[in-house]
Amino acid sequence: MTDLPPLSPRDEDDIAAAEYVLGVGTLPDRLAAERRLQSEPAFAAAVLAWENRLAGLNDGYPDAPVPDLMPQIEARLFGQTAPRRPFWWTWLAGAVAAAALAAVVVAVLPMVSPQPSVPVAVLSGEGQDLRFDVARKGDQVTVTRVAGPGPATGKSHQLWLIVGENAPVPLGLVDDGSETVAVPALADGMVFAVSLEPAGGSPTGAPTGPILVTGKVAQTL
Amino acid sequence: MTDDPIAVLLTRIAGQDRAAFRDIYPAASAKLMGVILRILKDRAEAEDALQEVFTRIWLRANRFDAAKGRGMTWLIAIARNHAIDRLRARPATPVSAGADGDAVDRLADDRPGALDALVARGEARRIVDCMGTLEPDRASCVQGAYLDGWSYDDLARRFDVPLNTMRTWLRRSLLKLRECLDQ
Repeated sequence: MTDLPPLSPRDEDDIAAAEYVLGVGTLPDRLAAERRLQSEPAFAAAVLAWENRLAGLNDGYPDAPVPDLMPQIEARLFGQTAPRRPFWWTWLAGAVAAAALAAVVVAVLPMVSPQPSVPVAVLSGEGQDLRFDVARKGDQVTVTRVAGPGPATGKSHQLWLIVGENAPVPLGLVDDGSETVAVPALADGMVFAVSLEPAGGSPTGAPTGPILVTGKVAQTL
Repeated sequence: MTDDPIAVLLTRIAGQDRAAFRDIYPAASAKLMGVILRILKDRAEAEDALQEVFTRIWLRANRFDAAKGRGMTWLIAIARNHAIDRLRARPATPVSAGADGDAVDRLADDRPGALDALVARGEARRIVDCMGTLEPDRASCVQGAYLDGWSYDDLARRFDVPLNTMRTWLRRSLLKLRECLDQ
């Protein structure tokens, strides 16, 4: 079998998009692609194009009987009770809405999500004062330092996600005490870790300093 | 009026219309369950995954663009991605011949026969034609990856070729498919 001739950078990206749509990669491959989807419009467009190209294959999926899970779904999204009105509602209702206020509301609206934030992990380490809480809201995971000091000058706290035996996937820096990242595939048993790195994060893409704290994901925490 | 009722519902859901959200469940849940169940092959997990998929449909409906694709295609992409992510997150369970006779039998059953399983109608016609331009083994790889969520590792094992060979096969097939489908 001869190897594929080298692809142009454009084809490399397009094949990466096709591989994501087919789903043949490992979980770290898929997490990396999902992060590109959020940050690279061209990649997102390539993925959409492949979804449409391959959509004819969807006829190969038969319908399957399914119970009515809508009550559980609505409970996940909206809580058990009628949704509470956000605090600014009364403001808004009564207000002679000044232009400035309207601007604030417009800015706030997209951030208001009815989905509650759910704790999924606590990161701690032996002999460490440092502790982080991890909470999930939809696809977003927020990691917050709740105890212990931030990194010393010239150092960074870097967040990692470890899936099974795979290499840690870098998720960003938590130097400011809190970091929100998209982890669409979060599942029980995955491990979050924070390592001590040079300022700005690991230069190699793998942890270079000591792992300070770790915690396993349990979504029923 | 559009011929894509799911797209109409999605547009309403993007506007936080909970009645539309209730209407999309009976319209799409059986198909999405079919997708998830085929990939995960475990009903309890599939039902949990389906709840997560509908949660995402509500949260992401504002990203759907009816000008760029059909509503059901968008829904199935969400369901497939979530089911495959779950599959990849499972602890590795090597399917080794001899260790588990059932697994070997199942492996043989799962291997798709050419394209006869595909109902060739409407939108599917074109992809069936283009898959027909691939060697049968290669078409089976694409189909097994897409429909069953097989990874490169799974494919290499099932078709008994080295991982790199499988990667080359599949990439070559994808380039060929793109050329055929974009004509």
